[in-house]
Amino acid sequence: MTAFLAIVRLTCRSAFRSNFFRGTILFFIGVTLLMPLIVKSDGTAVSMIKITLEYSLTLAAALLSISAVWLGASEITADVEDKRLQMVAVKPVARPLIYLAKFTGILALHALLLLIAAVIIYALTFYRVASMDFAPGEKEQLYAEILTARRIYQPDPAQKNIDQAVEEEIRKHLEVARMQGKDMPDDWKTVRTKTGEFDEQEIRRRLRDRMRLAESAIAPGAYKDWTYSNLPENLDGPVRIRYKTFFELSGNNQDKTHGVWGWKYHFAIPDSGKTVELPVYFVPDNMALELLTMQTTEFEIAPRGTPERAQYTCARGFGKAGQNLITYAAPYPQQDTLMVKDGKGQLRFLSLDKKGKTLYFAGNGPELLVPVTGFFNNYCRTVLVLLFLIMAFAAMGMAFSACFSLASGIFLTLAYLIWGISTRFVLDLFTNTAVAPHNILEKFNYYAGKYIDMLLFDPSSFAAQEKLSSGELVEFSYISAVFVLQIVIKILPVFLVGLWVYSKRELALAGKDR
Amino acid sequence: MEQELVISATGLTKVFRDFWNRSKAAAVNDIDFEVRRGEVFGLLGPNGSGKSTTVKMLLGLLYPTSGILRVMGQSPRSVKAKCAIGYLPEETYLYKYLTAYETLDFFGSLFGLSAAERKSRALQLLDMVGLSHAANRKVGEFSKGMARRIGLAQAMINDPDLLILDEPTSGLDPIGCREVKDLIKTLKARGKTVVITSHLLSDVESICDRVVILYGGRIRAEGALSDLLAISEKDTITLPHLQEQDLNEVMAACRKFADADQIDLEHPRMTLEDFFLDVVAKAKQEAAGTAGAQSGNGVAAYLSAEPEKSGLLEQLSAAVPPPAKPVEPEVPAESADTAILDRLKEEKAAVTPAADPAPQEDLSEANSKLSALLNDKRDI
Repeated sequence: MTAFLAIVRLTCRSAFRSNFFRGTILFFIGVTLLMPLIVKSDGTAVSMIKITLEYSLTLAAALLSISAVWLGASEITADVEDKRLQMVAVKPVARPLIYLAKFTGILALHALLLLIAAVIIYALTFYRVASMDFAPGEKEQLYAEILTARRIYQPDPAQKNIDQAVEEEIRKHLEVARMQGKDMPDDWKTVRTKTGEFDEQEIRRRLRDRMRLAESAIAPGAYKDWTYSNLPENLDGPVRIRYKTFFELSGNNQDKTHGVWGWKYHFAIPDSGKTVELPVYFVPDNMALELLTMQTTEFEIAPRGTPERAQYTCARGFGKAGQNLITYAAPYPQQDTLMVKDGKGQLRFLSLDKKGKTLYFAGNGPELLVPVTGFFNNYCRTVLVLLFLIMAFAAMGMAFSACFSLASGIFLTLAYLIWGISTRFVLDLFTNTAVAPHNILEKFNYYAGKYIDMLLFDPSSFAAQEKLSSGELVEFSYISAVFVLQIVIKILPVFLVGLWVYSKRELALAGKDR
Repeated sequence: MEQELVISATGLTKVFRDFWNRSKAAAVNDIDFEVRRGEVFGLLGPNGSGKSTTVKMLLGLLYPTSGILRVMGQSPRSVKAKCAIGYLPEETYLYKYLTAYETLDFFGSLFGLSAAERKSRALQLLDMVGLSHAANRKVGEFSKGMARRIGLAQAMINDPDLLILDEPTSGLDPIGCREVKDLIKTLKARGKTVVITSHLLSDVESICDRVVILYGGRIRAEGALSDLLAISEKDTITLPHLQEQDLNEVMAACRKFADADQIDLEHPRMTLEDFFLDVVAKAKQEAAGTAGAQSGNGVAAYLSAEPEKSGLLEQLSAAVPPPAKPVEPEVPAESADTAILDRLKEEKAAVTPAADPAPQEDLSEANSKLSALLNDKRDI
């Protein structure tokens, strides 16, 4: 342990002597101190804090990652090329221990710098919050949407298997066409690949998209329910929902619509031991809520038992299409009401669009955002993920320099990163556009990319600051997945190969001649 | 009593290859040698003969292509074997931003020494190599000689049983050279084993017990120096200064046994090193100052410490190599002229010869140190 710690201390000291590291530190200080103070946004406090957090942490992590690669590579190569490692290697210190000690020194140094940056960014962020002039309600919105840590619940998927439904739909279309004496519907014949062949995959994709769209459609006067599972039984609010709506064929143009949100409560009937389900609509000022389409919006479902929410009116019964909303003044849900039963909760939206247009919800529907812990806890989790990123970069820098020069080691590290990023980019293209590979070369590229992606490091997986700046909880499952998939499975083998090479090389063959 | 083997090489070969694994050069080619405990062993040869390659294989910095190499009975790459090895490379590769003290502290920590022990040894070593005044100076500011001294100090931080010195006197002034040689003699007296490579043959000659001479990667000569260097065809007689008449008598007697052109008469010479040291000693007495390295203050206590008196004596006696077989001079026929030589011999036996000041000074210094040790006096 004495030898290990001595090498760790020497590594840290050597790092501070590197001009590159000193330059990075200066730049790092500038970014950390200045970015939270100078960043501009669209003028709202929410976006300003969101951008501050995301940009500052991203830049700090990026700088420290670059520094970790450089130091990792230079610590390995400098000692070998200057032959100082020979003086150490002839002592009773195993080479793997030297390698690990250097890695520990680099990691410890960067962890300290990351911690300093995290403290400064945190302090400056709250300094800005404290010194800001907020518009009415803006501060509450900031603490509700950004300076918190919420778990996102997606609505349960539709019961039916969409792929099965697509195949069923194709079968029906073909049957209809055959009855008409055709081999396929007329509108399918124009769907061709670049080589002129009939594009069956494209047909499937279009049908799939249309079905998904239909699922999320709400006609005026109609309602749609979304069920959320695995909710905490003691869910008490405040609970927010986040959604984005659009009208078909409106492109990116924003529009207004109206509707009412509701939640199904479970009321306990006094002295009976039974509960009854009753939907509660949240109708502010007895008017339907105005929604803006093409905009991601958050809306708070009123928590139960809060007197200040008495402005909401309770409604009985689920509204039917075209029926005016029945409202009456009634006591707000009492203490014995439940939002969640058996881990499930149900959200409803009733469309009251005045222009008679069908409204669609993006994605699978509204997301339920349930606060789990505080912002500080979430911030610490984010910093931990960023530390993993720096650890990975340091490991790569060391591994690729184990038997190469400094320049070669840095080059190989960058090449490895670019390979991983570009492979991920190409795979995402296929996924996001749902364009299947057509010819054998594209298929080879696609499947080769899929398998290579399992082995290549993906820095974008470590973007926890995006979650933090959206008030989203950085889950332990996410942290574990990042650690296992990226660090253990992808980086650790590279690191161990570097360690093996470092241990086996003949040191007397390396080095510059004086 | 045969001492245990410290280094054993059998069929040792090192072939350097290129990227395509083609053989480029056989730096060491099937050499066999052994080094026993307590020996001062010299590894000699011209440039490119394979000395440094052999040394690096001993230290695990290069791997043999074939053959068996054992250091302390283990593979050179074994961590355990390195616990008892000290190494001074040909060029001292140190961390330039560390001070002299920090350098020794760092290397001491690699041996797992405690902080207190590292501090104690570092201070003693700095004193020994004459760098106490530069303890807090960065090694990057040192001259070559000073860097060599600190390199020597780090090689002994762990009180090694096997010390490998590659050109130990390179860059050192004559005072430093003498101190290194004294140190080696002290270590040998303690039963330590020293392997030296050097181009300065005078240094090797004065301290090594056995040498191996390499050329082209092969051993060309091997053996004890006393065996290798003796010219058995000639004899040397050293006399005190004689009057001319007596000298002529001696010469006349010698001419009866050899031709005049085979007889040399000249004053014996002291070595330049001894003369230099004498001059410096006198200058010191006059209290002349210097900004460079100062002469050391004797061997560090922990390096010269002996556990038991009897052990020391045994080691001293065991370390002495067997003397070369004396050449018996031919006994001439009795004649009147031989009476002069006989008389000279008798006078020589009766008179204590004037001692060579330098060796006597060495023995007295060594004796004083031994006395100090036996009386438990330390120079800390």
